[in-house]
Amino acid sequence: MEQRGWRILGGALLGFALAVLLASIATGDPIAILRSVIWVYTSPAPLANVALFSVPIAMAAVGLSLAYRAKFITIGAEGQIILGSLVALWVAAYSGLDGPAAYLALALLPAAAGALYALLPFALRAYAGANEVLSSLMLNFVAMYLANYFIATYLREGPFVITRAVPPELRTGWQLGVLASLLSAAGAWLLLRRTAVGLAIEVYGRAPRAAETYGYDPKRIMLSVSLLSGSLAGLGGALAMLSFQHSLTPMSFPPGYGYAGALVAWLSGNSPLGSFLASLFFSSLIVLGRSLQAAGVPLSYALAAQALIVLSTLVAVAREQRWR
Amino acid sequence: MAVEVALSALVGAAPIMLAAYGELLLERSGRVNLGVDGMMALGASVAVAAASIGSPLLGLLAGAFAGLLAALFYALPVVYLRADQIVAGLSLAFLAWGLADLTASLTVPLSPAIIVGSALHDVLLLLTLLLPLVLWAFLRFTWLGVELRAVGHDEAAARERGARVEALRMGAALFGGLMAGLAGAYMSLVLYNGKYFAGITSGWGWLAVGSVILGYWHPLGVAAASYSVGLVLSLRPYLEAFGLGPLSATAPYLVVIAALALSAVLSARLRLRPPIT
Amino acid sequence: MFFADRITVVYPTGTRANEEVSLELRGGEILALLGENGAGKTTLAKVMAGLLRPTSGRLLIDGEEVSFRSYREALARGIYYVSQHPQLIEGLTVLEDVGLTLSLAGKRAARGELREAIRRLSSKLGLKVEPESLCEELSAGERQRVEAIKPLLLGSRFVIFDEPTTHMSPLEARALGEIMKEMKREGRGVLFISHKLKEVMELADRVVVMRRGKVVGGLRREEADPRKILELMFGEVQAPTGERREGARGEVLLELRDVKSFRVRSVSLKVRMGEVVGVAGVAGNGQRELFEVITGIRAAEGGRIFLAGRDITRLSPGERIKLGLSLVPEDRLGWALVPGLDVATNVYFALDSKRFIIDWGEVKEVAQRALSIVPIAGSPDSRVESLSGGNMQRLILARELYRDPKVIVAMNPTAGLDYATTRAVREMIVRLSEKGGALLISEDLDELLELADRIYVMSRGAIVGEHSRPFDVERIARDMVS
Repeated sequence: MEQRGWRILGGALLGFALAVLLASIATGDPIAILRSVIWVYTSPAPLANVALFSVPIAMAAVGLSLAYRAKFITIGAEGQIILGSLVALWVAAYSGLDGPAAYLALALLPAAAGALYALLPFALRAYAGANEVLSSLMLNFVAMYLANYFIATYLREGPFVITRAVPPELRTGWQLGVLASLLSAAGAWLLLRRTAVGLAIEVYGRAPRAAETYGYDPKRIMLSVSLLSGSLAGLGGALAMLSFQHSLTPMSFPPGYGYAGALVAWLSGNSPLGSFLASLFFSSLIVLGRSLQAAGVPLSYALAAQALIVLSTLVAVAREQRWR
Repeated sequence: MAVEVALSALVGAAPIMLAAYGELLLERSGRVNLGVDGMMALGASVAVAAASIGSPLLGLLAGAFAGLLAALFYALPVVYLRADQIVAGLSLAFLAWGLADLTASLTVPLSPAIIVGSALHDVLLLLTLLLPLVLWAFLRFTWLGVELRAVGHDEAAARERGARVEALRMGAALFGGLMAGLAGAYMSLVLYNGKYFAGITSGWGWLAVGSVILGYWHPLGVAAASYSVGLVLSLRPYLEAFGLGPLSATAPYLVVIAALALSAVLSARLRLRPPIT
Repeated sequence: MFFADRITVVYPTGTRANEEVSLELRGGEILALLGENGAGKTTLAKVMAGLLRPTSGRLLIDGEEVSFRSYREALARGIYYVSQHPQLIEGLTVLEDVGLTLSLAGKRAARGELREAIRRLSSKLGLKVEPESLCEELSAGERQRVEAIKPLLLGSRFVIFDEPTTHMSPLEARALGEIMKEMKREGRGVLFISHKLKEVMELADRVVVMRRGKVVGGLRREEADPRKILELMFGEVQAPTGERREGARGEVLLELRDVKSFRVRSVSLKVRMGEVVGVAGVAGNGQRELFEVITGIRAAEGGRIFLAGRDITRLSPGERIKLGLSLVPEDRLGWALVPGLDVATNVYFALDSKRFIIDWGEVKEVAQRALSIVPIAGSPDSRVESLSGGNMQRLILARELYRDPKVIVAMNPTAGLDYATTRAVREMIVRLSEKGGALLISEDLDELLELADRIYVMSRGAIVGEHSRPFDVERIARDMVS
């Protein structure tokens, strides 16, 4: 591995240590925390959960790694995932479709929802010149409230504000999700390495002026990465719904898979395969966080731990640039 | 009547306004911090904890100080190590969200500290109204303010003349944290009657960042823009009654997005280059 | 007295910008430093202003050796440098900009007093600028003069003006001349870097000429005559042979009719089959923008562009390339080449026939074929930024030759290259022109004199002269500095 890779690894480990330290301080019981850490990384049950939660993160991160390579800095995967899972829930539990039609709809509609939603920050950037970072961040909240609205109205079932659940025959295990994220990582890798679209992304991201001069259209590049990342995130949301969410309740706080995906893409240096691996790592922090819930550690601990890892990596990599 | 509405909107808008002032100063120095929302959440949580063991004033101060400390996670890598400011800002937001929830999980608020109607609240509102004037005067009439703007406009030229680029940005980033922390403290202590819950900020920090752009980086403009955003927020109950239901919650975000797009188009048309005092 | 003693500057790229240059600037005089682009004048000025550390040599003020670690330290020793692109900070007012400079130099001034001082000085210097006007609204000439106020307020002893009149109107230039004379009367030493002979002759007490990093002559005003100075500046005027190629030129391949854009006021020119056409001019007169308009990444706001008879004014950059336009941009890395990609990909990405599925074997083959036309030191797998500047340029030309274009448009293609590569690059441009036409936008007049069949001279965004072989160098040089 090259120098930068080692630094990223070192930074990530340091961040992980800090995250464990944080949990220890928060609970005042470092022994229990360490026991949980060991349990998460050695026992089959939590490892299966690691695989489960990694799917939406990985799907988002793979798409974002393409977008970030083209210097299109969208943070919108969070909202696209929410909409993807919402649409998947509707198809699975409300549409009345079953059999192959249901599978087909589950494969296509959530991805389409994510892609359509990704068109918004693209259009705002390409045609109005509005910064995509901020617009996509706000659109995440719009998506969350939109979902809350549907959950509280059309999808509401019974006396509590909760939706129907995905019927058992449409639920999946972690295997399908992991297979899907592996396939998308491989697909993104192939796209980057073997197609003209990938070449355009690489050229535009590294030298926009050269890209424009030699006939690459910036808008088309931004559009393709938006559609790709949006549909992957939407599909990731669908897989989350089918494999572990199963139903929805109103959210006061975004679930964080898309945000984790953005961090993962950055951590992996925007490499699709690296994103797949890093999302397993990040997912393990979610599992760790959940296992500590009984000890009073809040759910957002996972996102904080992930951010801590990225911040330490940021420092480790920045030092390298400075020394050079 | 109109005054009452305006005032009640001010109460709702104050957190966004306060946070926007802090971000404004940092952006005038040429950097942007996307971690405002997290610093607000941390301020909100720490304020509740401190207020419950001390006084509302202690809560506000502690919240502001917590925001300032959190800003270090952004400022140290970005200002001194030239790390990616977008990644650092977002990471800070997520980290501070978590820290806020952790703080809340560690403390049990004894009795909610109500400060609405107190003199302290009036002082806060006054601060919200007067701070833009102070910032404007600072940027406009002091050499330090001029130096900060120079750093934001043309880092290389300012550095060549001997401007203290890093020190100024550090100061601005920490001030931004302080204001965001204070804004969060205001949210929990005033708007939510001394309570904190996960997701309390619901992205208001980013509404504040958007307000800075909408206010065209001018203290008075930012005050007006963030107040207007707060006004939209305070209209939510009416929208809800109007049949929009929970959908009304999306209004402020959509309004800010639309306004951002419009202002971007206008700036391009008029060939405006921000920021100008 | 400010003395630069045997200054040598070698840039990391290996370019020797200054070679044992010595210069003496006395109080109460205007010393003109003349030379072509790339002669090393700005490098020397930056060394004297503490903006650049020399590889060797020393600086002395009143016989005492000084060493500047920053511009600030030079400022404190009474030196003021007015750069070519006036570094007023846009977004500040004149008052703020001047006040900031003073405040950072430790001379804090009250706003009111400063406003008065600026008013007083500007009326004395014929500068009609209000202290409260925004810097970005000032013309280049006004900015230069605001810069010129600062050393007066700071009490600087030596003031260096780096090509101040490049973007100035004659009237503004004259006003600046008055300021210099005033500085001289007050006993300050003024170093005036310029291309423009006429104003130099009017103002300077002494003239020093640099060429290719060396001082090639020093003259007092009495002994300086324009012809002599031009000869020093541009070297022995090579008798242009005019026999480089023969025969009537063919059809018009590239034509610009009254093209207008940002910084391009009006450009009309024609490139015929088999012709190398040069555009000469001092840097910053709109050449870069003209190049961008021809590529299509900058929109033409007026006029028409024709490629082989076809109107391409509204076509995208990609469509222009498909029609046989070939480009050698000024910046090698980031404009012509993509950093972070390997050599082979850098050949391939700019070609117009790309398949959706990329066959890397084919990419390598294409690269090898291109590199068989022009060999480079470096394999197709190596990262492009690991190449030397010369090899990058050879790679770019290899790619363009492989493309077999109708017209090649090149900008400063030999800037910063060593002698051997320069020869090779020039030879390739001639080769490219044999099967088509070449437009060569260059700040290096020698290059144009050697290669071009015709030379247009560009000044302030417009074509101000057209010259054919045999060239009258003196007339061209005069157009350039007009």
